[in-house]
Amino acid sequence: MIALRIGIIIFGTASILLIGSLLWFGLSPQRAPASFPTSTTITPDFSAFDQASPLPGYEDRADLATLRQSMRGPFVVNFFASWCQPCRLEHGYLNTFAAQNPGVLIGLAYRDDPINAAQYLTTDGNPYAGVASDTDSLNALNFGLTGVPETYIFDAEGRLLFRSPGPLVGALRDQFEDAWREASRP
Amino acid sequence: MTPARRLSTALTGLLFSLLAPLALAQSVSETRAKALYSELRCVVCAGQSIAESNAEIAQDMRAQVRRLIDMNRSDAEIRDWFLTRYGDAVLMNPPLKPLTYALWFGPVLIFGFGMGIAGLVMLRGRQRMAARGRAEGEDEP
Repeated sequence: MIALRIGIIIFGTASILLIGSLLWFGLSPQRAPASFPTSTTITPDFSAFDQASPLPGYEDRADLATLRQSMRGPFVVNFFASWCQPCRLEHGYLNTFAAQNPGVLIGLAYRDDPINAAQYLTTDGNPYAGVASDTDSLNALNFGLTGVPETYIFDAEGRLLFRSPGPLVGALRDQFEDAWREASRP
Repeated sequence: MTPARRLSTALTGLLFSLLAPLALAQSVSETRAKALYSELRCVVCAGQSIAESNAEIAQDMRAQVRRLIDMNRSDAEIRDWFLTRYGDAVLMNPPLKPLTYALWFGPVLIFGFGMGIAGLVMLRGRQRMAARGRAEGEDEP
């Protein structure tokens, strides 16, 4: 019966350690339980690019499907909105990025009035080589979007390489830059 | 019945018989849409399905479910459509696969283990009582 007693002690200790560590990490203040686990194994779907509608004044940049077809290297898709405050945090960086990497950044205005989105780009600068309004959020759903801003790096074949589920500031910007460097290495 | 009256009755009947299958089809797709709404997770809400949430993304997802139903996709195809874009977490019930076996069967295993230990402890208690009973019995004479 000693074996049983030892078994119970081992099982009890293991249970306490397991439950304790689950609580320790599960109740950590850094963890946001409501946040959706954004998947990086999604299959991106560009089929709704041709259904995005032009922003007034940016009609010459609205043909996203053709632009995507013409990509010969990695490219970036960024969802933004004029009403989105965190988007303003990364907008300056997007302008810098676009100046260093011309022709690779595609923008989609999520749930935004095309007039407001155009106004936003006119006042804050337009980093996008191609930009349009995401009609009926078709592209947002195709990209597994959970909120704006969200940024995706694809290789020339359209495979998802990196995904930033938030503004490109701090750690996310570092990860984005690493992923972009990795992607654009010859 | 005047001929005009008869004609209008006939036309009304014809109209209803034409509309009935349409109405039926509509109610079928309505039921399907509602069932799918409660199976899909709202991706910005804590533990709510898109049936329960009025978040903007939930509205977008509901509209997409309806579009896919109108495109004659099956329920499985619609679930799959969201699964490939959002991953497993988009389903309110996580799919059964090797990675989620612990999630589905873990509680049953732990319960079984606990019951087993409780059973052993009780069995041991009974044996001890019986042994004590025998010992006392031997003492008596």
